[in-house]
This record gives sequence, C-alpha cells and structure tokens, in this order.
Amino acid sequence: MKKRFLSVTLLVTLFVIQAVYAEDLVRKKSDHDGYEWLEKISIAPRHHNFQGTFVYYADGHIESSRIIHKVDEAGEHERIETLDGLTRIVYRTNDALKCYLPESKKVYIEERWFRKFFPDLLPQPIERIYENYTYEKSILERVAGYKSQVVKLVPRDNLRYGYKMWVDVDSGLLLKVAVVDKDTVIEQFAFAAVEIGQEIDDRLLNTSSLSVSDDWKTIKLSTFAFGDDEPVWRLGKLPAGFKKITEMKRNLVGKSGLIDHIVLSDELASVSVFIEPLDNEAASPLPGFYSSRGAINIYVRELENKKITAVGEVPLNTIKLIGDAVLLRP
Amino acid sequence: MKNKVSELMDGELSGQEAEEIIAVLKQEDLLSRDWEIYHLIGDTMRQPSNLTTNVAKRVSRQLASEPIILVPETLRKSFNQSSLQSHQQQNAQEIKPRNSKTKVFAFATAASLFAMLSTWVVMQNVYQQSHPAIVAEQSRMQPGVDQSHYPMNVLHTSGGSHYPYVSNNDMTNYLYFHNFHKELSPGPALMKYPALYHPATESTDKSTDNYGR
Repeated sequence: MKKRFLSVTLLVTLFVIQAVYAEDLVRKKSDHDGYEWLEKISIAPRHHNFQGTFVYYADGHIESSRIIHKVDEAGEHERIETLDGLTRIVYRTNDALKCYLPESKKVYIEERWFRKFFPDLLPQPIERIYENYTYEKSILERVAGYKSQVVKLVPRDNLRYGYKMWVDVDSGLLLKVAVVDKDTVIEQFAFAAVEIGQEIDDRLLNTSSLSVSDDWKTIKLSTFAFGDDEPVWRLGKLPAGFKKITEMKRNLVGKSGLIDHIVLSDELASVSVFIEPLDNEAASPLPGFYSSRGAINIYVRELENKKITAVGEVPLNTIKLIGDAVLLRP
Repeated sequence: MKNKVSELMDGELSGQEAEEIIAVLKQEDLLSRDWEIYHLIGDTMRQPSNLTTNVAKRVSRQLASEPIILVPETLRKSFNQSSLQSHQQQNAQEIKPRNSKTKVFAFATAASLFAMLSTWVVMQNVYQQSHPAIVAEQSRMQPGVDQSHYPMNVLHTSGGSHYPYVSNNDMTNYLYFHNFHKELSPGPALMKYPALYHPATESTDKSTDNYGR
C-alpha cells in the first residue's frame, strides 16, 4: 500500500514538473518569437528603403502624408510632406531635422530630434519594452497589399496604452499601428500604399529641389540640453517604467524667454513636461485636465509661480502622476 | 462649508444635508456670497463671450484659491494628512519625535497606506469623471458653430467644468514640441477646431473652414 502511495506521489510530482517545464518552454518560445518580431520592426527602418503614403486617423479625422525613406552609409534620410492643409515638408537626416513651410517662407531647424516617427516607432535596443508590456502574436492580415503579421504589445498595468502592430512579414516594416485603450482604438497610423526596398533617387531627398530664396527665414527651434549635473528640475516618484530621456531649453515663438522641456518615456509612450513662468498679464491657467486628438492627454498645474504642463500619449492618471512629480530643486 | 455649498449647487447633497446647508446659507453672509460666486462661475463657464476679462480673471482667482478635493468626506481627513506629507517617514518623526522607532514605522506605514488609498480614490474619480465629460463635450460640438472659444476639450477633475482661459497658443506650441510628427500630419489639436494658431507659421490656420468642419 505504501509502495503504491509512493509511486502515485512520484507520478504526480513528475507530471507537475513536466507541466511547469512545458509551460516554461512555451513561454520561452513565445518570448523568443516576440523578441525576434520586435527586433525586426525596430531595425527595419535602418535597413530598408521605402516610399509611400500613410494616413493618421483619430477621432473621426483622417490626414495623409507622403514619406520617402532612404538608407545609405551615412544613415537614414527621410522626407515627409503633409498632403492636407498647409504644406509642411520635413527633411530628416538621422537626428537632424529641417521643416520647410513654403506658405510662410520659413525653415525650422532641430539639431537633435529624439522622437520616434511612424513607421519607426520601436526603440533600439528593445529589451526595456518587456518591462512594461507583454508580447502577443496574433493572426496574419493583408495591409497595403503586403502580407503582415499582427503583433500586440499589451501593457502590464493601467499606466499606458496598448499597441497593435501590423508588420510586413518580409521586411519587418511597420505597415500599420493602432494605439488601444483596453479594447478601444484611440488612434492609428497606416500606409495606404508603400513600396519597400526599391532604389530611391537622391534628388527626391535633396532640399535644393525647394526654391528657397533669400527672403526665407531660418529659425533654430532646438536649444541646448542640460548636462546631467545641472538639471533645474527635480523629478519625484515617476509612474512605473517612465524615465527621463532629456531636459532642455526651448525657444517658443512669441515668447521672450526660453521654456524648460523635460522628455520622459517608457520606451513606447512618451510624455513632455513644459515649465514656464506664469504670465502675470494674462489670466492664469487653471489647473486641470485637457484632452486633444487621439491618444494625447494634457495636465496643467501651478508650482511656485510656474506653469507646469504635461503632454503625452498616456492615460489621464499617468499624465497626472508625471505632472505632479515635478519638484523644485532644493 | 464652501464645499458643501458647491455640492449643493451640483445637486450632490441628500435632502437632509441640503436643508441644513440652506439654513446656514440664510444666516451667513459670507457663505451666501460664495453661493453667488459659484453661480457666476457656472454662468462664466456656459457663456464666456458675455463676460469681460476682468470678471473672468476674478473668477479665476477665486477658483484658484479653492483647492479641489476629490476625496469623499470620510477619507478627506486622512487625505489631507497624508498629502501634506511628502516624505511620510520624515514627517512622522517630526510629529512624534519621542516615540519609539517601531511606532514611527507603524505611523509611516499607515500614512503611506492612506496616501495610496487617497491616490487611488483620486484616480478613480479622475477616470470616472473625465471620460464621460470628454464624450459629452465632443457630442456638443456642432458643425458651423464658432468654436474658437473652445480650442480643446477642456476638462476639470471636479465634474468636467470648462475653462476657456488656457492659452491656445501655448497649448499648440506644446503639442508641436511634444510630437512634431503628429502636429505635422497635421497635429492633434491643429485640425480639430477651426482658427487655431500655428506655432511654426505664426499664423492662424483656418484651412479647416473650407471643409465646413
């Protein structure tokens, strides 16, 4: 009887071990698969030429832009032109950005652009994504004529939105992305048409094709970034996963002084915090929440005669936690 | 008491409570003035164009002087207590300097628990109140109506009041710096409402008017 009991115990133990091990294997396989897909999405813009038209859709509005993207020894070169409303043409070479506004004859220059643009949305390296999101592989779907794999990044908590991505199976280029709050799609970027991997004529990316005369005005938007040893603002406890990326001074059109701009990110979602002195002439801004198009939420508060505005593609509670984390340096 | 007056205005009080506060209102001049101010605020929110900037500024000041408390009465005491303490343990030590370390620890734990609880309650309120407010604000937007006074869906935590006094220019600039790309595509705020200031061109973008949006 005792012997029988022992064997049953052994069998059960073995079964449990096997189940745990199998589950572990499945999870590892899924993680490995996820890692490969995310890595593929992340590096695709650094390896493939592409050109096409994409749309941004949110709150019932749709806007389209044309993009030309070329990769060579020097890095990435890109031209994005808005096709709706006022003409705005952006030329980007790696982190340097120039924005041409033909109607007002102005060029805006940004030396160090840290934001991610569609379809280049994932960071490199990708490891930190797993700290805040879990990976889910879904079905195959057809987008802009390409066979694409649907992958989801599901937030581990309620501090951020989820992302559903359609990825070209061959190149890894992101063809479509939807930002989701639980089951609700908040905003989407998607290619309507795109050609991947073809040769791109340098002339298409050459700014000299624009007839810029002497009466055009060049304005430098970017300013200086603070070194790590001299930040003016202290950040208290931030919501899980968010880290400060940079802190800088911004030159705002129509303002005499510079304003402080702190950028935070959880690797996918990003939040900007702007700090400027209160304008005593104007009615003071009232603290509270504001909403804008798509995933953007805004939170305004006052601190020691300063106006603090947090702007980002995160839920309201997160934008508040970040806005409230700004403290004066003692 | 002021909060009670505000709650009365919002119809949040029960019959018994309402009767009590009305009785007090009749007796206290200061409170009945608050009552009037609150109504003025309400009117300001609804019809900003009929009021002068001076009034708006005064109302703004009045509002600014009143902290918005989103915590139910039962939790308010604990919330105030914990929110005042940026570093609970440090303050706990200040309050009870002679206590043993274990007591200090216990107090700090309790304080942080209160803080957590209060934050959670605040968050719940923020969430439950703001989202319906967004929907309500959007559903009220009618095509063809001059919406230049409402550059954004303006929200406030205490029940979704509208504040039209935040600088539109500032907000558009912020959005522009936050996400150049979306602004360009064009931006989150830019095309949503007509006659928005454009930070890059320093002009007012009225292109949406052509489409009757």
